[in-house]
Amino acid sequence: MTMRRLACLTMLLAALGGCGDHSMSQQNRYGTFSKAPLFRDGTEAQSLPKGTVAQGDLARARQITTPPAVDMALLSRGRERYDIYCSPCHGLSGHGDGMIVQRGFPAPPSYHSARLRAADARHIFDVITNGYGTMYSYAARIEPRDRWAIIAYIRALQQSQQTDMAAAPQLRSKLP
Amino acid sequence: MPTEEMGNRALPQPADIHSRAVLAVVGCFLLFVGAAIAGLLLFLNNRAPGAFSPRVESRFPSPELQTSPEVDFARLEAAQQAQLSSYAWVDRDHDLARIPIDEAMQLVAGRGEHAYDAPQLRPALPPRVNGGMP
Repeated sequence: MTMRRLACLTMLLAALGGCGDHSMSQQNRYGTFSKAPLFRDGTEAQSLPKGTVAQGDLARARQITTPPAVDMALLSRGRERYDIYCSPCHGLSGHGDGMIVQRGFPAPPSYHSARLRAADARHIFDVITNGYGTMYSYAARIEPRDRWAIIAYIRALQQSQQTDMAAAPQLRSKLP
Repeated sequence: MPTEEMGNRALPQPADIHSRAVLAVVGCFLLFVGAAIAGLLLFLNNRAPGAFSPRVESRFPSPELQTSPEVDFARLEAAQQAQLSSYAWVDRDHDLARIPIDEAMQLVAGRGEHAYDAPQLRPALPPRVNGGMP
């Protein structure tokens, strides 16, 4: 009698083990991109409400449109970012002779060419943001403020490699 | 199996071989091989005239492998840093000179709101051929 009870109890426990709650895997919901009569446009894929922006987008947009004031801290930041992201192709001095170019990659134009010395800062910003020729976009790698810092440092590079000594007479005595 | 049939099978092959037929087959085969070789020679002579000339030994340029990337990079960096940290005349006639980058950064920082402006138009530097690499 005891054995029979034990067998019944075991079978009961085994049966209870098979009773799972499948509500998590079989939910009453719309599948991805399926028809959804609940919504007015009849689709599950609902677009964002008009005017929605991601957190930080407005500040980022302000950084794009408003260049930061140039001081030594910004130029030092630009130098650091330039050496990391730009110098492999453009070279440390901006002549377009970085190590990648030495190994066969197409040479970028020199920052000291007439065209790029006359280029507007916004043009350089757009090139960093969207890429140009074989250069791809750096928008995902360099924040807008750092792009402006790099542009300011490029202006310093252009100043360094071609300085009008009439505008900086105090440096004349240091020339060989 | 009948005994008579087994007996017939056991008989040796008759001695009368059709030698003409054998010679004809061999002759046809040789003719076919000869015609194939002649056709191939004609084809190669028309399509690839130099196929039978002796091969000229050609040597590919050796690959530009870096045996020591660290040394190469250090050499390039040293050359470019020297360019960024020295004084030198670029065009003495036009009063243009190269100055260290730290001095240039101070000049740009001193421009204030015009720091991003394009530098005054001057004759461009000639393109550099070698950036310090061998």
